[in-house]
Amino acid sequence: MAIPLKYNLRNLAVRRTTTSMTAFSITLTVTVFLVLMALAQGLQTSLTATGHPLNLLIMRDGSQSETQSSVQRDALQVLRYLEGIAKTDKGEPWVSPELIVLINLPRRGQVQGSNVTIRGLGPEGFALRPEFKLVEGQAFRSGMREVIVSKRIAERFQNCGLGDKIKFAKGYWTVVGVFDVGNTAYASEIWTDANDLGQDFDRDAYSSVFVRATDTGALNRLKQQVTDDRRLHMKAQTEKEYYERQTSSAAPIKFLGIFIAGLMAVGASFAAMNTMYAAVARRTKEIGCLRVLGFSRGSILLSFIIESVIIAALGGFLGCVMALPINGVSTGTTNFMTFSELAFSFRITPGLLLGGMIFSILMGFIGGLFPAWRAAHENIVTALRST
Amino acid sequence: MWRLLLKNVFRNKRRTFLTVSSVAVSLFLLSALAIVYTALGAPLQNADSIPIMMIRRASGIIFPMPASYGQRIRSVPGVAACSSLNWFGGYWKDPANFFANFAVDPENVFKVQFASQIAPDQLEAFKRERTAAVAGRRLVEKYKWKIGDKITLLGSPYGFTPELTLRGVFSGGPDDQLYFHWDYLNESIGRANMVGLYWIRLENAENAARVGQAIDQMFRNTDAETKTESISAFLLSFIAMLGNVRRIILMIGAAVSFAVLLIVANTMAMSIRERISEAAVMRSLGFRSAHIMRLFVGESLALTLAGALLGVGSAKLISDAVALSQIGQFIFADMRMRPGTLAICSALPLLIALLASGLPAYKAGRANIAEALRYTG
Repeated sequence: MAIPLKYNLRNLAVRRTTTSMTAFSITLTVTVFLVLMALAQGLQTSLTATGHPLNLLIMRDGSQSETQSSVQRDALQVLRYLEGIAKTDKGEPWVSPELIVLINLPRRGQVQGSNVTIRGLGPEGFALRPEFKLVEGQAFRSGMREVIVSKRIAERFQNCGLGDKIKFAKGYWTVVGVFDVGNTAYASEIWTDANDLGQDFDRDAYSSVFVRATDTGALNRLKQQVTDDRRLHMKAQTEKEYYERQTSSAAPIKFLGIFIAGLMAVGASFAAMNTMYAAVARRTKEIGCLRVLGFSRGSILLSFIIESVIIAALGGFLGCVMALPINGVSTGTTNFMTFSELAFSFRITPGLLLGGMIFSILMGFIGGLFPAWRAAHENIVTALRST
Repeated sequence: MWRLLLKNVFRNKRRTFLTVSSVAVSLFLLSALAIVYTALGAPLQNADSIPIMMIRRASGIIFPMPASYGQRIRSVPGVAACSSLNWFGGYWKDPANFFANFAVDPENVFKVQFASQIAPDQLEAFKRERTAAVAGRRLVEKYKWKIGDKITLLGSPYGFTPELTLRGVFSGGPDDQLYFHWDYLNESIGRANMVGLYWIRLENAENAARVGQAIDQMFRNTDAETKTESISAFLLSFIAMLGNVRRIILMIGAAVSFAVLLIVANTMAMSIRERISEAAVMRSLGFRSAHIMRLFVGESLALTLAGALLGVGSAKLISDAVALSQIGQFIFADMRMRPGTLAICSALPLLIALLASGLPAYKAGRANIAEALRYTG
């Protein structure tokens, strides 16, 4: 028969100070773990959420990112009339040549600048991104040096709000609108007319070409056709593939999070172990009584492990609660593959919270195992005689 | 008194071991975080005495400057040597083989980067041959190159694929880089005559601010204004691109320190509580309250000191060993533990020990002897 749970709970209530201190050290461990994992998760989500399944991204062969790529205008003419490209409402091939330029802008609260992507595109480009939505102002007009900025850029960077003028290339560009494009990588960009941008930066080539395919079969055929064409020297990949390749930047953060949390967990487990050993030592006589009453070694073992797990679970729960406020906090870093700003938000998922709880229970289990074993194997007579 | 203290510490070996271990592990983590935090704030130690500076376009590192600037920069008093530096951004054979490759001025690059040593005959071979390249020792060892090997760099944003021949190996400074001729790059892309960065060495590091201003002044109000900064400031601008890393590290460090405080406080409180009647016996024997306090606080200090030695000590050993093999590598230029960091990481646990044991020890020393003797816990 198992020892009733009330016994454990009463004991915890009596030793309030020790219980709370041990639980709180586990809380800190779990909070740190969740915050770091949320950082990695946020980064990964913003990169994997990007990409319409039927969009194809064409860049120069050998380029790792749009920033490094260059597509000549005559190549564009070849691409436009390939088999399998969907048509826009107006009956034109749904092809969007785009130009990427990086400029340096200061973040709010920082003096140092960070690189921000300016994407020059045409009207077909907007339609290619179904998540796009203009939330303030209006779209840019060509020939007027007008830009629209993403919501995140307006929030995080100085002088990028509606109506502000940003200086780059040969003059000042006015922000005429703010857009939202969901949780995709485009959420860290400034958009303007491709031709205006090209003229101001004296560039006559584009960086990349986006294409919408009619269906998945056509998508794969186009991909093969463009990549294999020896005249073009280009490489095609689906938009989703391109962004997923960049998620490798989230891996080191995850590794770091696990490393730091792991070390903290060792420290917290040892502390829990210490607490449980002290508890066992103080209750030796009690344990002797329990054994005399007929409770088996197994039930004593289980009881003390459960007590340790309860402390840890309490700590873990508090840790999850403390970590929750960070969900949705937006931050940003430089994506070193495109060498420009990538804004994202911390994301705490139910999976992550579950992971945090399991982590804390594991700490409790490990911390309680040895002391519980000790308790279960006390010699009954000596235990009854102890003070 | 000391013997009593030591005997008490080893009375419960398991508790001592667990406390010391958990403190050691937490302090190891704290030290590692502190090392990264300080390194990100000041990538190079003794930054003020390094006479190397970097000149970039004021509007951003991605924009180039005219090649004609080189001559004018050399004419500024205080500039000992100047080399062009274009980030080429290529890889060898596979995109995974990505390393720093630059197009430089072969006559001047090793005058600027004086920490890198190269054999004179290899340097001459490099200067003579237009398609020659020199690479750092670590790179050569990693890819098993030999002098005379043909190295082709693919995938560069410049859109051309140079076929280079390895003519020399350098070491002593940052040695995971490859240099080739700027002229070769320039001619192959149609003589754009643009330079990405200018790398200069000063005659005297003290004149850094003055020389920097003189150079920037020279190009003010032109189409391509410059910004001259010390190599340390240049590295910091890359670190700033990472965002709030330092703040996150600081917050984690605070959480870890607080956890250590809790662990030590908990242990001390537990052990002192068990020994209240023992303390009362000692006091009735003639020990003063002050003696009791010193005993308990001393034990707490001893435990944390042992944990600190283990934790901070191993962090220092590991970081020094790792860092020495990586000196000069970009933003992680100098990851050795600095004296200031060592001092803080050692002093913090002692402070924690004092705080954690102070109050319980005081109470134990001052308790009513008669009641304390009766205390059964």
